[in-house]
Amino acid sequence: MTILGFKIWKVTGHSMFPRIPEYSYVLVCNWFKQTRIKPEQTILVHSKQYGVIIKTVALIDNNGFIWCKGENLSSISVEEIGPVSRNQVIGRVLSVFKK
Amino acid sequence: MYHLLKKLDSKIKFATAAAHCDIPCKIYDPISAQIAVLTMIRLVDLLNDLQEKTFYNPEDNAQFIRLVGQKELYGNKVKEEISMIWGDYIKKPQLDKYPELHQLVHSIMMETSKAKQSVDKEITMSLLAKVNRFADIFWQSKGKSTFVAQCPYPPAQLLVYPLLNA
Repeated sequence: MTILGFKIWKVTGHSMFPRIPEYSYVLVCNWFKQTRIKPEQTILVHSKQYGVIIKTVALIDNNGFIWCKGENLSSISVEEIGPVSRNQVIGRVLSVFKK
Repeated sequence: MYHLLKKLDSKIKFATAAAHCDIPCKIYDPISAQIAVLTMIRLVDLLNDLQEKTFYNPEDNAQFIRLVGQKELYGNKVKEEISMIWGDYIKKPQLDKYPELHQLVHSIMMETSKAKQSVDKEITMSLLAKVNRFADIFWQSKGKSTFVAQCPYPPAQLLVYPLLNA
C-alpha cells in the first residue's frame, strides 16, 4: 500500500546486516527517485535477475547507471548485481525499523 | 514502532525486498571449508618439497611466494566458510544439542591462524580434524548420518561426508 509515495517494505536476507537486519521494516519514498539518487543512499531496485532488492548505492557511472552494493561480506557483489537504470529504482529508504 | 509494524504486517502483509546474500539463504555446506583445509595441506606439502632444495633459483622463489600467498587465501576461506555457517545457520537448538560448538569454532579460528603462519603439516592436520568434527556436527544437526572416506585427490586425507540417502 503506497500513500503519497511512501510505502513500508519488509526486508529478507542478510546482505544489509548489521544496519538493516533480516525482517526489519523500511520506509521507502519514491519522490525524486530518478533525479536525487546519490552514493551511500539505500535504495530499493527492481532487478530483472533478483526481483526487488534493497542495496546501497556504490556509484553512479558517467552513463547515469547506478551500481549497487550490499553492506555485508556475504552480499552478492557490485558486479553480480550489475548496473541498474534510474527507472528500475523503486524508491529511497528513509527510515529503518528493526528489533 | 517495530512491533506495531510487525502487527500490521501480520494483518496486511507488507511487500518484501530482498537483501540477497552470495548464496541463496538456507544453503549451507561445510564441504567448502573442508576443501579449503585440504588445499592448505596440499600447499604445505608443496612448500615442504621446496624446502628440501639447497638453492632457490628465481622460479623457485616465485613458486614459494605463490604457494605462501595461496595458503593465506585458503586460510581466510576456511575462516569465512566456518564463521558463515556458525553465524547464519547455528542457532539455539543446535547449540543446546552440541554445546561444544562455540569452543570448536573458536579453536578452528585459532588453528587456522596458526596454519597460516606455519608450514608445519601437523598444524594443518589438526585443523582438518576440527573442521571435520564441525562438518560431522553440521550434518548430524540436519538429521544426516556421516561417513569418513579418503578424498580421491591429493593430499588424500580423510574427510567427513554426509550420507545423503540415509
